[in-house]
This record gives sequence, structure tokens and C-alpha cells, in this order.
Amino acid sequence: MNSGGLFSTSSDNQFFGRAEIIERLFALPSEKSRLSSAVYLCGKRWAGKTEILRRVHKKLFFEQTAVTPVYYQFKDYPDTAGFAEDFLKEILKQTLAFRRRSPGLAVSPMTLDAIDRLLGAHRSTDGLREFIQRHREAQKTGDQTAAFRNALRAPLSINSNTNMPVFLILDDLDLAHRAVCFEGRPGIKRDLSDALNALPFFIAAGREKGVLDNGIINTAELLPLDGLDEEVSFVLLAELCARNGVEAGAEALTAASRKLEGCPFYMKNFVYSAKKAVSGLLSLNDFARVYADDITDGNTAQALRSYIKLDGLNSFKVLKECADDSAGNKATGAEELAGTLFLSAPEVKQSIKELCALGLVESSLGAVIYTGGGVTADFISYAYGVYAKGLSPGEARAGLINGLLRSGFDTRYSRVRSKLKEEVEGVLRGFDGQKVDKTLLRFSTPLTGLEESAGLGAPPSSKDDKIALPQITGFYGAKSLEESAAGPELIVAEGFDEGRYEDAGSVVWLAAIKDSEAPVTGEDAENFLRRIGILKENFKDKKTVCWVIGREGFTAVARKILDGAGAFTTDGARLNGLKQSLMKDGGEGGLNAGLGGAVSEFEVVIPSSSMAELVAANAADGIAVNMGFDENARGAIKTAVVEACINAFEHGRFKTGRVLARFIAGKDRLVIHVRNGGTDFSAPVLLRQGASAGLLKRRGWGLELMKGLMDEVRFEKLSGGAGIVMTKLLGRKGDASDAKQA
Amino acid sequence: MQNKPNEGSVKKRGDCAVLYPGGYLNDIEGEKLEGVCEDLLQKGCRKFVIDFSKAELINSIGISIIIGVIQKVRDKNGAIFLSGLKKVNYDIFNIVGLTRQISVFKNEEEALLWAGGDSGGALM
Repeated sequence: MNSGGLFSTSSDNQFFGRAEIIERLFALPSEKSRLSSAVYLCGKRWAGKTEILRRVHKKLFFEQTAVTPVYYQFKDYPDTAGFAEDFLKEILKQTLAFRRRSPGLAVSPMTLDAIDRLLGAHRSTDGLREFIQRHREAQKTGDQTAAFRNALRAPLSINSNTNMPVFLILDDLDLAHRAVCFEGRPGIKRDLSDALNALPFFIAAGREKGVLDNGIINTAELLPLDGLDEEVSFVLLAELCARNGVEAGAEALTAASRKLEGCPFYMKNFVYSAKKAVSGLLSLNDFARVYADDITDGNTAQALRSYIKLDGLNSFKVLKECADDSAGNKATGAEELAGTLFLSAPEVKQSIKELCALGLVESSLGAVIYTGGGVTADFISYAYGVYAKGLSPGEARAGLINGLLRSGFDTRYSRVRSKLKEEVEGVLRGFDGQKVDKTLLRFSTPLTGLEESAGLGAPPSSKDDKIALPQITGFYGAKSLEESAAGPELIVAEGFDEGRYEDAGSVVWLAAIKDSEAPVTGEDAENFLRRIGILKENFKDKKTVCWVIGREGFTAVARKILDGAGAFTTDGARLNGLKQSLMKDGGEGGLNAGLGGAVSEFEVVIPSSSMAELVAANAADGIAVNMGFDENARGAIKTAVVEACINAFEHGRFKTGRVLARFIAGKDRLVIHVRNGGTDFSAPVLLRQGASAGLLKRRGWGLELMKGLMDEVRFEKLSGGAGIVMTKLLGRKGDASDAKQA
Repeated sequence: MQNKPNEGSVKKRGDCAVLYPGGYLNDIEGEKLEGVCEDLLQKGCRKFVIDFSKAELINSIGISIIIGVIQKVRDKNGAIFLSGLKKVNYDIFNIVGLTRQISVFKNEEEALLWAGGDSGGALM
């Protein structure tokens, strides 16, 4: 970005995915109706907080005159007076710069004397010189507190004497929380807190949420700054590769977009490493090599080395242990760390304090949780191997690459594996106290003929053939109850039977899932029953129900074992039938309520290229034919999809971006989601006529067409992009009327 | 009965030019149509019929180009008519307001009758 002479920012083609936050922060001063007009932007190191704040400052400087923007970045100072002078200089200098419309002045290093002279040159700012006078008096008498309070009063005083109140933009505010010059001086922190809370609006940013909890500011809204989502990261990586002449492929970019935590800093370094190595990024292997290069010897390694400066090996050990525990989803206590690492309690406590200050761990309610992120964990693991365990760099690097390849391979398939689990979870959510045919939960009761092959529910049957399902109040994986689970995951679903919300009505369903190409075998069945038998001990005072779901069904031996144990058994086809049965019978609580029954979902991903929209349009047409839409309605759907895709191409952030079209075919409607990885879809265009020509304006008809052709159109703001949702109802708005004659 | 010419071609009917945009009227097809029209205007043609009977899909960019073509013809004091619109395409033209600005006919013959062109003629 051309910073316009203000605080430096990166170029526009290297900054992405944050347009919405910037707009929101820019609009803060005008949001009078809000309870709080202060925002605390909280995000990890390198998440882009400074970049966002500086861009907001730039927008406020050039695009409005209602408030005076002042950007201030907290540092550590030799003493309180040092902070006071620095803060005062920035407030006065930037106020003057804004009034004189001189961006260069805002960033010039100036002495207080020089600022004093400039202020005196203008009547409108002459009154501000009193702050400099008071500061000098406080310096003479050595009264640091007076200097500090004087500096803090400056923005408030400007607010009360002007129509352009100061809008403070405070970067690294958590440094104020930990600054040496403020240490042991609670009065100083209180003064800072009072001054900030008295301001009508401000933005602050930092790494720690504690800034809010510990009362430095207590009127701000917390706005977490997460990493860019995977899809945006993918597109961004593709863009960076294209700009740097690095050949890229989907497998490597997918792995990178998952690994790099949506952090633009890591992504830029990663691509730079590939460029330096003259290496393509096509396969998982390529990704692993380049990533290893970057975090052992590249820009990311250097950055991490300079930021993770630890006092000794003890802190390193504690950090490594916490990072390893975090990988296993475990929080550790200080005592446990001391025992594991053979350190004394004070040594561990000191290390935890040091690591907290660096933002690498959080200590809460006795638990120490690693918060440094996966990339940092890999760096720590490598560095620990080399410096603590004495491995050669090559050996440590090979271990890192092996781990990356294993986890990348696993991830490739885990998304497929998790599908059945997600379906089961969806079905559990839909139980809702309904009754379903026994056939759907007992494999030994076969479905008849066609229904079985189509996965439909069995024909209606008598009451005795129905099973009453509980109302599930919540479910979770059994990992927390099993130290080391051998076999697929078990889901524990708790709820109440027959609407009896009392102990006697409590029930726990233990669902074991086998999602593979092989049926559930006798060995699997015994393993499940063994695990469930142990898990049941956790729920002694509750009724427990065992349910085994196998995508590919069960062997005869497995069926016999499970039937004998009284377990429910459902294969893939029956699970589908169960889903549909629950949707058919369910009211608001049923699955996919609002889609009126059986639902099929389809997805198409298209590149942002010419004519690609026809792929999505033809897919929509095929679906619409099957649903029974008439020719006119299908034409409308196709056209609307074309328009949505074109709009997505145009407003996607990246030329190499993708557009996702999802079609949800319900009983009485077709719902179409189109999303991109970019800025908002264009705002609705007003239909108006050119006054002189008597004809219409030429461009921007897409949204009008979508709204005119579909029954419902709405927009979604999504993380990293935007989306449009369109609905076409069966039997409406497709009414035939012939083209009229003139 | 005259055979329909190929998509994207032009036919002269008396002093009227009939243009036939192709199956998907997007920016590419629209620009081709616009070029043909400009060429004809330069050669002195002042009556146009755009027959959409072969146009399955029209997007907003195509619409924009059609609007531009209409403006250019009218700037030269010409007349332009539309014909053969499928229901959905008629709806599209209706949404953007074109149906209030320009005459739309069921088919090419009716449009030519109104425009005063001959029913015979050769492909250009």
C-alpha cells in the first residue's frame, strides 16, 4: 500500500482478507448507538494487527474530518517520564499534522521544542502548548507522575476544546501492561486505565486478552483477530507463488494453507523459501522440504529466534513440554511439569512467567496451556533436538520432515474419515425424542427390497416396531474418557428419555463408528464392546445404550456378537434412512428444517476464468431438472447462477481465486450458495434511467437480475470472503407468460 | 420459408439487418455483436432486428452491451427491434427496463413487418 506518507504499511498485493475489519474499525467513531465505541483487537504475533491499525489510521487521516486520528505504538521505556514525553509528542504532533493535512509531519521524528514552535505558529493550536510547558515543569521538579498524568490528559483536553476529538489507535497495548517503567506502580496503571476509559472511542491492539481482564481497559469490546481461513490462505499462497515465479500445485498449497495458521507473515516467508531454493511447490514432499527449510534456516526461523529469547535451558524444557502436551490436547500443571522435567517448583514458576511474557503459554486456574501455534511448536521441536538433545541439524530436520509427511498423509484421508462421524453427529442432534422404525437401528431386522438399496426408510409399521429415541442434550468424543483409544472414535451422547428430565430419565448413547471400506468384523465388534464396557463405568447411574455404525455394514459374526449384546446396529444405508425419517417426522427440531424434507447437496468449485460460470449453471440446471422445475424456472436459475458467479469473480480478491457453488435440493426449493474469497459482493444497483439519453445505465445489472429471477436473495459475510444465497421455490415465479408484442 | 442462418451471423432483409447472437450472450459474444453493428452503421444501415431465438443464456454483461448497441443505433437516428426472446430472457430484459424502451416481437418475421423490411433476403 502506498502509505501516503504516513506510518508504513505493506503493499496492497501482500495484504488481504482484512477489509471487513478495517471498514468496521473505520466506522467506529460514527457508531453512536453502540454501547461501547472502543475495540480491543487481540491476535497472535504476526497476525497483522499493526498493519490493520495503520491502515485504519490512514483511512481516517485521508477520508474523513470528524475525528483526529492518532496512532501510538507502545514500547518499553526507561522510565515513566520517557513514556510521558513520547506519548505527548505523538498526540500533539499528529493532531497538528491532521489539522495541517500534512502526513509527513505525523511521522517525522521531532523534539518537543520543535513541536512547541509549530504549535505556536498557529492560533488554533497555540492552546496546546500548555501541555509542553507543564511537561517541562514536571521534568524540572523530577515529578514523573505529574508528567505522566499531563500526557494522558492531552487527548481529553483536545476533545473538550475542539470539534475534532482525538481518536486514539493504540498498538501493542499489552506492553503497557508489562512495561518495566510501569512495574510495581499500580497507581500509574490506574491513571492509564482511567484516561483510556474516559475517551469516547479508541482502538487498541495486543496479544493478550489480560489487558481487558486486568482492568487496563474495561469498556472495550474484544475483537479476536484469527488467522485467515484455509480457503483464503490457499488463494493467497497461489497469488504469492504466481508473483514470485514459483510453480505451485494443489497438494502442496493445501498442506501449506492448513499448516501456516492463516498467518500472512509465515506464508510470505514460505513462498520466499521456495523461490530461494528454486523449488516448485507441487507435492506434499515439496511442501515438507520448503517448510523445513523456512523454519530451520529461513526468514521464519530468524524471526522466531529473535523473538523467543529464553533465559536458560529450563524455560526451553518447559516450553517444549507444554508444546508437546498441546499436540496431545493436554493441559499441564506446574507441579506436573516440575515432576516430569526434574525441576524445582520455583524454577518452573519462573519459566512459566517468562514464557507468559513472550505470549507462548497461558497460565490459568493452575493449568499451563501452550499458545504459541503449530509453526512455533515445530521450530521449538527442531531447536530442542539440536541444542538440548545434541542431534545434528540434518537429523533434526529429517525428523521434522518425516513428521510433516506423516501428518499430511493422515490429513488427506481424515477429512473423508470424519464424514460418517459428522453424519452420525447430525443424526444424534435430530433424535429429539422421536420414534423411528426398529429396522433402522437393528441390522437383524432387514429392510425390504428397493428401500434397502435406495437407503430409504422402511414402510410404515405398527407401534411395536418403533424405537423411541432420546432427546440428546450434548455429545462429545470419548477421547477424554479413554487414555489411549485403540480403534475408531466413540461418541458419547447424553440426554433424556421420553421427556423425563430427571435422574431416572437420564440416558447415555455410546456410538461406535467404523468408516472404512470394510464391514464391521467380529474382532471390531468385540473391541467395541470391550471399550464400551469400560466406558459404561463412567455412567453407572444412567441407562446406557450401545450403537454401532458401520458404513459398509457388518459381517455375520459381527452381527451375531452385537445382537447378542443388545447393541443397535446401523449400516450406511440405514443411517441415511434414519436421517430421512427424522427429517420427515421432525418439526423445527428435525434435520434441515425449512428445506421441507429430503435434501441432497452438491458442490461445484470453479476457477475465476472465462466461461467457467457455465459449469455451475449447467450443474444447477441438471439439479433443477431432477427436482421438477419447469423450463422457465430453470432458465431463471441458470441465469442467476451465472450472475452470482460473475459477481464472485469480479469481487474476489485474487485473480487466481476459486468460487464455490453449493446446491441444496430440498423438497420444495433449491437453495444455492455462491461464495468467493474476496470482498463483498457489489451493493445493490439502483434501477434508474439516464436523464439525457432516455435509456438505461450500462453496467451493474447482476444483482437486479438475481433478485428479479429468484424468490429470495441474501448476502453473507463470511470469514475471508463473501457469499450470496439464492432460493428458488418449486411452483412460484416460473409462471409462463409469452413475450409481448409491441 | 427461409432457413435460419447460423448463430452469430447477420442477414440483410431489404434495408434492415437482422443479427443473430449465439447461445451464450456474454462479453465475448456481445462484443462481436457490437462490432458487427458498428460496421453496419458505418455502411449506412439504419434498421436493425436482433433475433434472440438461438440465445439460451444472456448475462448482465451481454445486457450492457445490448444497451450500448441500442444507444449507438439511436445516436445515428436508427431503429432497432428485438425478437425471439425466450421467456426467461424476456424477463431479464423486463427487469432491466428494456422492454419499456424498445419494441419486442415474438419472432423475426413480425419484427421485420413492423420495421418495414422484406420477408426475403440473403445472408450478409
